[in-house]
Amino acid sequence: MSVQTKYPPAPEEIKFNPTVLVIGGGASGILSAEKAAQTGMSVVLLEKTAELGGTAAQFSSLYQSDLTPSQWLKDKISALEKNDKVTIHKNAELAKVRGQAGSFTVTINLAGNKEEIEAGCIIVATGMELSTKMPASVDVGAERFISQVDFEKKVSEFIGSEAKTFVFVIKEDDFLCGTANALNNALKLKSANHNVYVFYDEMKVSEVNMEKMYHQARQQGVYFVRGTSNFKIGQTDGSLTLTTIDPQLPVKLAKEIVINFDYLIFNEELLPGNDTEELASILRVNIATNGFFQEDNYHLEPVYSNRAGIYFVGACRMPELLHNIKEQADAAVNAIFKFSKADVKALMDEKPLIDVEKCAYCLTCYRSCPRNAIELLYNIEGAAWDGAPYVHPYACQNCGCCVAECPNRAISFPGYKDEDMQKQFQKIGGKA
Amino acid sequence: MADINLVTFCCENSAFLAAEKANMPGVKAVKVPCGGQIEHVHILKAFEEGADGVLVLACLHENCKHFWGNDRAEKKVNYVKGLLDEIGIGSDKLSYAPVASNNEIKYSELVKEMIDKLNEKGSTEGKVKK
Amino acid sequence: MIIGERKPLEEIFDRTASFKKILVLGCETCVAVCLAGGKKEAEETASSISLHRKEESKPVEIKADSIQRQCEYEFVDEIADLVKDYDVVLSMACGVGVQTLAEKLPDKFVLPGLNTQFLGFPLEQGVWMENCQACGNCVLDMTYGICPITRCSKSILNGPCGGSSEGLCEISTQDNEIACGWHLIYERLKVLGKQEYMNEVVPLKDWSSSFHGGPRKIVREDVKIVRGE
Repeated sequence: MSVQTKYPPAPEEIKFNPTVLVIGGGASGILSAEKAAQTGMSVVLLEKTAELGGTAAQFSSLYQSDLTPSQWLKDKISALEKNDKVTIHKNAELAKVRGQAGSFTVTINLAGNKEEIEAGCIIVATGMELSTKMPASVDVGAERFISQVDFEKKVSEFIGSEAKTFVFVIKEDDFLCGTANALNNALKLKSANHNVYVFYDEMKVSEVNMEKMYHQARQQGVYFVRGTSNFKIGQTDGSLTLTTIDPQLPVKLAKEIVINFDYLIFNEELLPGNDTEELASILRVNIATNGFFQEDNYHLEPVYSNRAGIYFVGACRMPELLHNIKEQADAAVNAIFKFSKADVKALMDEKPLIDVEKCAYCLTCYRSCPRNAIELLYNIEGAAWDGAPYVHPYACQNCGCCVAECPNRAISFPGYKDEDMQKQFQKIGGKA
Repeated sequence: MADINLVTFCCENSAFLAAEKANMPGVKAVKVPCGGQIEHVHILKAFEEGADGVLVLACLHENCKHFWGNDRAEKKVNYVKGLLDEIGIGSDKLSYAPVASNNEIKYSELVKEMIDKLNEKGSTEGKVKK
Repeated sequence: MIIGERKPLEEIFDRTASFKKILVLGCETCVAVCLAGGKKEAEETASSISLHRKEESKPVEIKADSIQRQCEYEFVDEIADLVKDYDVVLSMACGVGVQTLAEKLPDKFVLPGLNTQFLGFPLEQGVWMENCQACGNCVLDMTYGICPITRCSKSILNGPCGGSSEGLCEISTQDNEIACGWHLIYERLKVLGKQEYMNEVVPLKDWSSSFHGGPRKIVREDVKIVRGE
């Protein structure tokens, strides 16, 4: 809201600005921007580096698709650049966010200059970091230990070459991407008559076609061994060896397996982006215990954040395969579109209202709102001081925490006022 | 034994649904939008109006739709328990428990537990006369 | 702001035991902000007294109300009529408010329901810390922002004493760690590049400007409103 003169503001003053701010120009950001522009909203896309593309630009293949990431990105980026509803800012960073859903005031840092833009909703698509940590310490032959991203670039070299032994190690793959890649490449190599071993902790195949790939791989003779933490890497006569015991065999039968291998391919650790914490404090959203952004409800509202009007798409919340990210981008934009059609007057009637004349400006409600839905207003008529707290009708989700915490009981909640509550148990003990 | 009257403050996202299913006589289930909306005075007023016992029921830990409503409700219940001890009513007339929306069995068990506890104590001196 | 804490209920029950009609009066400014004596706490206290009296079978007529600030005569005026119906006013305000009530309502019993603790600020919601002693002669300019009178347990002015260890004051316990005020001051001076201040010798403090010199009063003739002239 811009200059407010009355408290509470009239419903006409609560506007929804049909501009979507997309933070991050990787695959997630590009898909979100594309979809938002399709629905008719204008889009401002911020990219921290000098090029769009993000982490996907480093990959060599897309899951279950014939396009390569660079082809896919090239098409999408050129369409986006030609789209007159989309403004792209490169070398841009987010500096400050004020206001609530429908009317965020965002300050961005454009190569040293600060610029302010208004946005109705924000989509966070800042992606992830890849860290290449080897699964075991290695003294020699370091070039034979390859991370998945690097291996993908070379896999075609091995098709048609003499038979070699490849060991895939998928360690702690919570996000399925490592397993999907390993199965894909294992099948490719096995079809070219190499020896392939796959070491894994959990065989997570809950993705389209993954279970089929796993069965296929087993049928074609890929060896699957469970357990990635009890092997030793050594060297014998110039070739690398991996020594382990199959943990699924009974102890008496278990004997050491020794594998002479040529290449060991390990999956990268998928980590939250290194500015996730800073962004979370600028946007005032929650971070999950694993360092990624925290969605509102994993099953029902995976793209929503705890704050209305701010959405998470893509790896910044949880690394995902591209077709799932497309669904998330669509879901976020649909949510924004629905939001834009909300009936403000009806909303205002059911949200808590702060009696600003009783308010002591103690900021308790502002601090105790789990949605950070309370805005501090300035230049208000009828309020004693600047900084009057206001429960924003777009952002509030009716939990009533502010109502309970107010030390002056200055917030009234339609339907849950004291009189409403007390009426329910009045004289419950007979004649009191 | 005089009839026992209980008031249960139930979060509408969980316990209230269980309360509706359980539908126990002598128990007034009060709906709140979230455990966080419950205040100390609501609980004290329930006792003033003659409730023999009060239960505050909200969502399971870490399951609150609004993140910390159920934790705040628990903290407030602990605070009021302190007040009730000082007042002389006794803190065991008040309790907090998490109840899932499909668990009307747990709801009725908690209510029965409170009723049994209150019956054990018998009529206390100065209790509100029925 | 002024930080206080509600008195233990036992004490309140004791003191109000002989009264039949009690008005619990909250204050909507400082003590409301520190969640000790606002309208909400006044209502809670009234409920508690009422329930306690029921337990003891000694009925009481009790009401909870609050005014904007109990330290202003005009606001006290607002409830002067209401007070007539009650035997005693249990004030949930700080000591200042209780005494203002007593002055404005000289023929009424006024009791305190709150222990006024200190001048402080919230470190976070629910945690308040003292950082001003109202000594009357502010020395924050010397330390660039950290008060040695309050943060140092001995209120000394020329650097830490021998009991400062690992940034903690010698009176710290495991449960209650108190930072050495002078350690904090030194770290801050370091950040600002003013460590050489520590070498200056500060003379004895004139405590006559603080409470040690007797109860204080400020008079500003230029601001006083003289009516009828």
